[in-house]
Amino acid sequence: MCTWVGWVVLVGSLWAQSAAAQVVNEGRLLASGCFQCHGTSGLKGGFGTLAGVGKEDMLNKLNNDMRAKDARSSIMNPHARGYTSYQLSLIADYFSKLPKP
Amino acid sequence: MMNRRHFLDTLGVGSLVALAPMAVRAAPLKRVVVVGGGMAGATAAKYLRLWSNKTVDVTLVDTSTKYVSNTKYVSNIMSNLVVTGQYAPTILDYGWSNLVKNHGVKLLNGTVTQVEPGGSLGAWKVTVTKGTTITVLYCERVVLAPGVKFDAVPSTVNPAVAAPILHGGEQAGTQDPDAHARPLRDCRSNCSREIGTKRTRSRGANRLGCARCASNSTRGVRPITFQPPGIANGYTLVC
Repeated sequence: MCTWVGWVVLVGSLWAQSAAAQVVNEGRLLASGCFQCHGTSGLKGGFGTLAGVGKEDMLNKLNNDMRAKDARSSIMNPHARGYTSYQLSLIADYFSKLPKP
Repeated sequence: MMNRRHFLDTLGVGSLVALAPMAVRAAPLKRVVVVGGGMAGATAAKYLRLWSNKTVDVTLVDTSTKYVSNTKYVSNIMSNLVVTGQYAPTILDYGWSNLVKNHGVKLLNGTVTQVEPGGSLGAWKVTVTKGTTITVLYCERVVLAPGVKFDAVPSTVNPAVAAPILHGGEQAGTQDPDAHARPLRDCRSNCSREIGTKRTRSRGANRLGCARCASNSTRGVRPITFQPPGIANGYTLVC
């Protein structure tokens, strides 16, 4: 757990990097493509809830189940194949750090 | 408990200003005008508000006169479920009321007639016209999302020319342009489709079949395991 001093240093360094907006949260930006079906921030979309799903669980499902050739008839197959492994890990990381509903 | 990533996520630029000791000067204005309230403009407006913790002022301009109530735009997302006949086209209709209610987006009805540099009052000056009323907005960013206009092609001008089906198995004019949807169409013509009743599953937990005869003539249809927002009850497919 970070100390308050740590936060001040962290916030200070963020401020020092100027307000020029970089991509603040790449995982979140990539994951926003999931929101239409899975809900904003992975909640209440009607399809599966993604908020709080473990990173390893999600990556395992994306990489091993959904990317598989015999999953070609699944709507998730083209989605899973549309990202690099690195991008998928950013997405899974983002969802895993959201609080579980 | 809030972890580090989530804490950073929830920190808007406004909070950084509040924490930074040197930020005595007035916060710079953050105003965005979004031109067009379709799925692109509405999405841009929503996430500008959501991800800025409402520190960005967003005005959505659209020509529709039916604001807030009884209003809609059509999103193509989830249209695959309409193409397969599983849901009515109305599940693709969305309104702006949640943008106003949940996210504080300002709506302005009219047509954007000019976008030009705003001089000392802001980076951009956006002129919105509605009848004889002219509204001028100043902002730091403009999002242009006015939509598309299709060029005329033979199939849109001449009814005798069949429209090509992009995702069909067969080309128009050859055999059956709707071959991919045939199982569902047959299912519907054999029986009827009941609207507003609860979905029924048959043939195992992961298979949506016909509620009346329990057959799987809805071949090729993926199981539906969700309830679209705003639809109280789904459809029952019967054949």
